[in-house]
Amino acid sequence: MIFDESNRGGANLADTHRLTQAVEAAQRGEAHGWTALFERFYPDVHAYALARLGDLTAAEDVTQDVFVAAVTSIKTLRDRREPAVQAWFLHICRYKVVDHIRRGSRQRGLALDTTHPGVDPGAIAEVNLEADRVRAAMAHLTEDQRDILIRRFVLDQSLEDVAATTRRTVGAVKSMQHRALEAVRRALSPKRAA
Amino acid sequence: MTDWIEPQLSASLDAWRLSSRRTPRRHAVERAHDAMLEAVLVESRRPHARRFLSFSFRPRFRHAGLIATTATIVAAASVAAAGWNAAPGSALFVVRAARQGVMLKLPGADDIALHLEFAEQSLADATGHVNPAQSLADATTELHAAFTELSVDPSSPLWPRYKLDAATLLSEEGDVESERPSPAPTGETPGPTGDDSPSSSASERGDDETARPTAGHDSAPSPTGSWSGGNDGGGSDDGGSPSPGQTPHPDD
Repeated sequence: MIFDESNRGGANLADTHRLTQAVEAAQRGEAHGWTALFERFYPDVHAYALARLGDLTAAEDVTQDVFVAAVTSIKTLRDRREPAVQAWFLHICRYKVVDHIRRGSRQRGLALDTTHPGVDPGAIAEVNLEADRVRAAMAHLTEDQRDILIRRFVLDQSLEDVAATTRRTVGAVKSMQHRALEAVRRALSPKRAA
Repeated sequence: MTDWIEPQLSASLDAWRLSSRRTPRRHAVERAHDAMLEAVLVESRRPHARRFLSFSFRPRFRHAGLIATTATIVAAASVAAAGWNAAPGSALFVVRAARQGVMLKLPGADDIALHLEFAEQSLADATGHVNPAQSLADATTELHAAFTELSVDPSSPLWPRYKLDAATLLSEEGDVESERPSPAPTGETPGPTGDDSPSSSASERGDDETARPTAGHDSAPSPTGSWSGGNDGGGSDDGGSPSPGQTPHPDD
């Protein structure tokens, strides 16, 4: 399966208490705590990076950088609830993505995975091309607008969750989302017409 | 989603979502996991000697924060040190006044002794010709405060010290008066007994008291002639404010 909808973590650390224990163990430098956090949040971080970069290899590199950077800064993490921990990882990821884009260290590529039997490579290519058009349209957005679109449409976070983790009001998030979508729609329209 | 999104845009967003949710490759996941555990190992070996300086600044601002904090502490300490015994009239005199105010407010502080100490500092300033007028005014205020508190305790061992300071004050005031340029002649020469101005009487009394700082009851050195001379006519206090002349004397 190429697009694994179920692989978004959460099953291992659904229990809040277990997540708290994992964060505390990670803060003590214990490997099992880090492994638990890795299993829970790697898919989200990877999806965030891929949504921005569109390059599978680059997204994997950035995701790796995020977890390495998290090791040195986890002592600053005070809130051990799941949304806060997820927001903390995504916050690191956001800056790592920006760093990656600034460095321009890797040319973007589609990195098509066509090894899965039963899946039409043409359909995959079409989906990826459309996704690339969206990513190109998102170049017109601000960093905050991109961040909100990824949280809402890729990570499926609710308006309330996005508001809480980005320290905004629900109304502000809604307004930013509306403006961002409008900008994406405008950017996509001429291309479609062409 | 709470807003309606037109179908074409919705289809594009779905494609973006599907594309972004691709499963990461197994070898990349394992590589990231290994790199993370390696970082955990390195982090655990790192000494934590600087833990006491673990400010919550972001790394990029940590040095700036440290520098700013250190500079603030050094600046505050410098101002406090410079103003600790600042001369009256100087810009940093407020520091000295604040320091004296704090010392008086500290629990368990001996207010009388402190007022006398502050008066003696002001008298020393006046003796050293450091803003004599202001110094004498400060000494007067402190002695007045000391007297107010002393008056409720006739047996206080601080009375002799107070008397000595009061005598010094009168002496210094006399010196200041004598150093003042005489007013322009107006044709009238004030008689020696006709001039009842507070400064004149204070000066005369000061000269007298300086010679005998621990004189007897009637001639006990009193700051009344100096501080209340200008306010209520010297020793002729109407009883509204305490005056050494009305105070029960320790020797009584």
